[in-house]
Amino acid sequence: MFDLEDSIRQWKRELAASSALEDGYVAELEAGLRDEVAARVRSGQAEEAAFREAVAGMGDVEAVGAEFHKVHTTRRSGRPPWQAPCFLPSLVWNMVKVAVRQMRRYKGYALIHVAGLTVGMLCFLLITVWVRDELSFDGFHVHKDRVYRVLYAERDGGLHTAVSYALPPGMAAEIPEVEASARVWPWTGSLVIRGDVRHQEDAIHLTDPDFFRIFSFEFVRGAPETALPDLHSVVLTESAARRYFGDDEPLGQTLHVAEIDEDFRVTGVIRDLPPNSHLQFELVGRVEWLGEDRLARWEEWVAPAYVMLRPGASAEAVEAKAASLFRRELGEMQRMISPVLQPLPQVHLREDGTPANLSRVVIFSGIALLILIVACVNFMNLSTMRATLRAREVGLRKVVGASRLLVAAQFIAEAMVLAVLSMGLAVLGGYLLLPIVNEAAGLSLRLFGDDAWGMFAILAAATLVTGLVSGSYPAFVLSAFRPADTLRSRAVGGRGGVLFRKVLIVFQLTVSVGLILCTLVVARQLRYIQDKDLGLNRHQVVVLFNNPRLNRDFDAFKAQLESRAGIVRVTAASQNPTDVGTGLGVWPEGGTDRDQIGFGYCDVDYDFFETFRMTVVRGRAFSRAFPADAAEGCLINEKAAAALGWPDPVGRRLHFNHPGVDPDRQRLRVIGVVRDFHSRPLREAVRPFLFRMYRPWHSRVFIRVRPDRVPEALAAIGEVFGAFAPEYPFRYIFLSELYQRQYRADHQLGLLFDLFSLLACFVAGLGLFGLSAFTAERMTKEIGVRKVCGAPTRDIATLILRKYAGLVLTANLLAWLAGYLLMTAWLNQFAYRVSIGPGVFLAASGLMVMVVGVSMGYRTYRAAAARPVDALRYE
Amino acid sequence: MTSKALIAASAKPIILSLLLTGESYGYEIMQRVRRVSGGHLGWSSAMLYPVLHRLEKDGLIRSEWKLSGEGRMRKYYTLTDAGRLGLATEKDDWTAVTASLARLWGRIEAAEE
Repeated sequence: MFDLEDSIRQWKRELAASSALEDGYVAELEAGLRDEVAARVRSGQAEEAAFREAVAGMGDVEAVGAEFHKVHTTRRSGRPPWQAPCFLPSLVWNMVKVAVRQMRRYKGYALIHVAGLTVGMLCFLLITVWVRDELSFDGFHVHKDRVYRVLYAERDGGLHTAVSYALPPGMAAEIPEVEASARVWPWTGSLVIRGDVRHQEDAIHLTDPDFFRIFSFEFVRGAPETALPDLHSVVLTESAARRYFGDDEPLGQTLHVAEIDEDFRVTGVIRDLPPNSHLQFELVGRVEWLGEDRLARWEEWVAPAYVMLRPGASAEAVEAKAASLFRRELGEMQRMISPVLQPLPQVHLREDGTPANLSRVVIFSGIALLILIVACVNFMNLSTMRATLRAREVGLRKVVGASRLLVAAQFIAEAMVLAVLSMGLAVLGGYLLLPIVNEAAGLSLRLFGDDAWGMFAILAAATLVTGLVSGSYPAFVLSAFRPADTLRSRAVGGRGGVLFRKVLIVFQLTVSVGLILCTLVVARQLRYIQDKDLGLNRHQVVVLFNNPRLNRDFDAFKAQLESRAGIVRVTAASQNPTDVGTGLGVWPEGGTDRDQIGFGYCDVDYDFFETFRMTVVRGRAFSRAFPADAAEGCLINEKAAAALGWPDPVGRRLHFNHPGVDPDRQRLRVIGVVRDFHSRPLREAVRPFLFRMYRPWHSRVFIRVRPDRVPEALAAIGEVFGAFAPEYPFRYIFLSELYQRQYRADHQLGLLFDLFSLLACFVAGLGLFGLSAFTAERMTKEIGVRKVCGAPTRDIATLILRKYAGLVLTANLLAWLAGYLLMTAWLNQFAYRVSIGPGVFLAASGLMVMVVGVSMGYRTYRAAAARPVDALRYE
Repeated sequence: MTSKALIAASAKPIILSLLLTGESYGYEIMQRVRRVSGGHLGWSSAMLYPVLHRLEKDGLIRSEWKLSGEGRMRKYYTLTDAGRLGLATEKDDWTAVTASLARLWGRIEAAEE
């Protein structure tokens, strides 16, 4: 039986569920409902149906509630607060808003937070750009997974990039897995002529036709299959083609190569090489120009070579077969050496056979990560320190019903907002800084490059991780506060938190001191390299590249030059004596080639030792007064004399196995001994060395000029050069500049260490500044009481600083240890190096103490010098 | 069915006009609106009561709980002086709107003929 009163009561209970409907509203709605029911009953409807239809006409509870809410809210739009949100997870927007308010409220702290994170992210950004560039090398070759560089491996692990040029064709012919092979001989260059255009080309590569099958350089004219069909064909890059032919069709045109006096037909034009290709050339010709015998010789290690394996072939199997081929041709004599294959993507990272580039990538990635972590640590430190400021907020949030997770989410959201802001600033900074870095380090990096989305993803991930990491610890600590404690103003935060914070500070300081230490050691080593007495004088020596015209009349050229003012001596040699690449085997007369010793080797002209001011300790230098010198004379260095076991080598005879010299002429007589000198970068120890007199061709001319008349001398050299070789452009370089280039990577390392240690110190300084500000604030009352009792400012400052003295000391000790280990490892790659004396440690720590003093001094002093009455009235 | 926006806009002048003749209550207002519009405007309680509350909040009408003839409590609404003034403004606005529309449509019909 239907009971109206009962039904209305139940309906009212439903309405009460809506938070917008107050009792008064419900009463009014009820009155309306009753009116309607009464009217419907009067018109003859049954009571039950009348009630049901009246309720249905009223609309559902939610809608009614929402309408009432609209009347009373002051908000102009939006959903009522008790309704589920439509797109954002609950409270996210609110959290961001609170984060922004916090930043506006505490601008100073926000600035420190953002500055620290920005610097950390900037380091990360720059290094990521560089690392990505390094790793992208040779990635554009389609067959990169089955292309290998052939290297010679010594049994002790040393690798040689120059291999016998008989090996690659031999491998292609005898090993079925080898699909193609190409020898690449980087020719120093030649004058190239076409009509009126003359250009000294520095990057002509001589190679096999399969070169373009193995490497996917993009052809704009011609095709890889038809490139280099014969000895007189040449392939150009686009910019080289433009240089010689302008806008004309280059295909089928001829170029004259002056050095060998031959005409070449252009058979293809390729796009300019990307900077991230380890092969860099402008012209490509046929390798056969090296000469039949040189290509067929197994004994001579000529230059690099590459092979492409068939899909699915195993590199190990090919290596084994190549090794047996090598042994078959060279016999047991070469048992110390075997050919190995290096995958193409690794070639750049281990360019000269050593993992130098790879270790730089690793070192810098490590530093980038370290600085980013320091920035995060800084953030955590400052946030947890300021925890007490937020304790009441946390307490209140919890009292009104926030769960621990929600409170934690709030702090992570704040960190996230700062992280996003910092990343934005870091990207901006990257845009501004990258051109400067490129300029200073000689690179061509781009911020986003070809794979912009990849970079974007990395940065987004870094931002996310930074926000999470730096927000997680404060979130964890702060969300653990018990509301009752915080609201009753009882001290919050336990001992564990303090300890952790100390660990963070120590970590930060350790990284800073460690980096300063590294910076100082690297700088000292670079200075040492700069000042090192090489055993030859590299200053004021002008280097010219020889050419056939100059070579023909070399004696006359030399005589004319030496008659000019400002020029001291002129000589020529096959190698730059500070960076001699060639070596050969030497054994004393009476011995056999089984007794051979590895020697450094250089062909020189008269006046070589005089030009470089090398000391001849026994015997004499080459002289025109002794015609036999040119045929059989040689000089060795002291190390060589020791290696041969000759106390007085002058007059003794020896054998050398130069592959280009007839075996019956491979005998020399020692006419003098020179003092040891550095013919290789200082990474390598001085080795035995052999100088031989050889006149027909030298690639370089060396001219010593007077230091006080350099401009005059250069003008004279240019003039005389123009008279002897008018068709060649006059180009010169100072030997000291070439020497610098040998250490380019080390200078880059030094530069980057400078930059990054500066940035790390900046971040650490920020952290310390925040720390001292906070400490001063916390101790305001204590300082006030002490001052009232008569403590002087100095004592109070000491009191504050003493709190952190232990941390600074610990950090220094740790940094000394880490820096010592790292730098010893780095220095060990130099055969000649500085020692890490105590001075470096003290200097690094001294610098750190200065940073500490500057960043902590101001706030500490202000706190200590403040009027006690202000302090006691505080709070 | 009339659009939601139009119902919302026209509710204010209609309610104020109805109350011009004397006090009234929720259900009665709904019935009178239905009658006067020839069944064209069917308001629901969910729509009417919030509007009444808003008008009261704005000071245009005043409410009072009274005992009705059937012995039940009802909330009666009366027009305030501010309400009378507000109605005059509304009247001007709506007259302007309807006059404009009438003129426009008259012109269109004239053009069609």
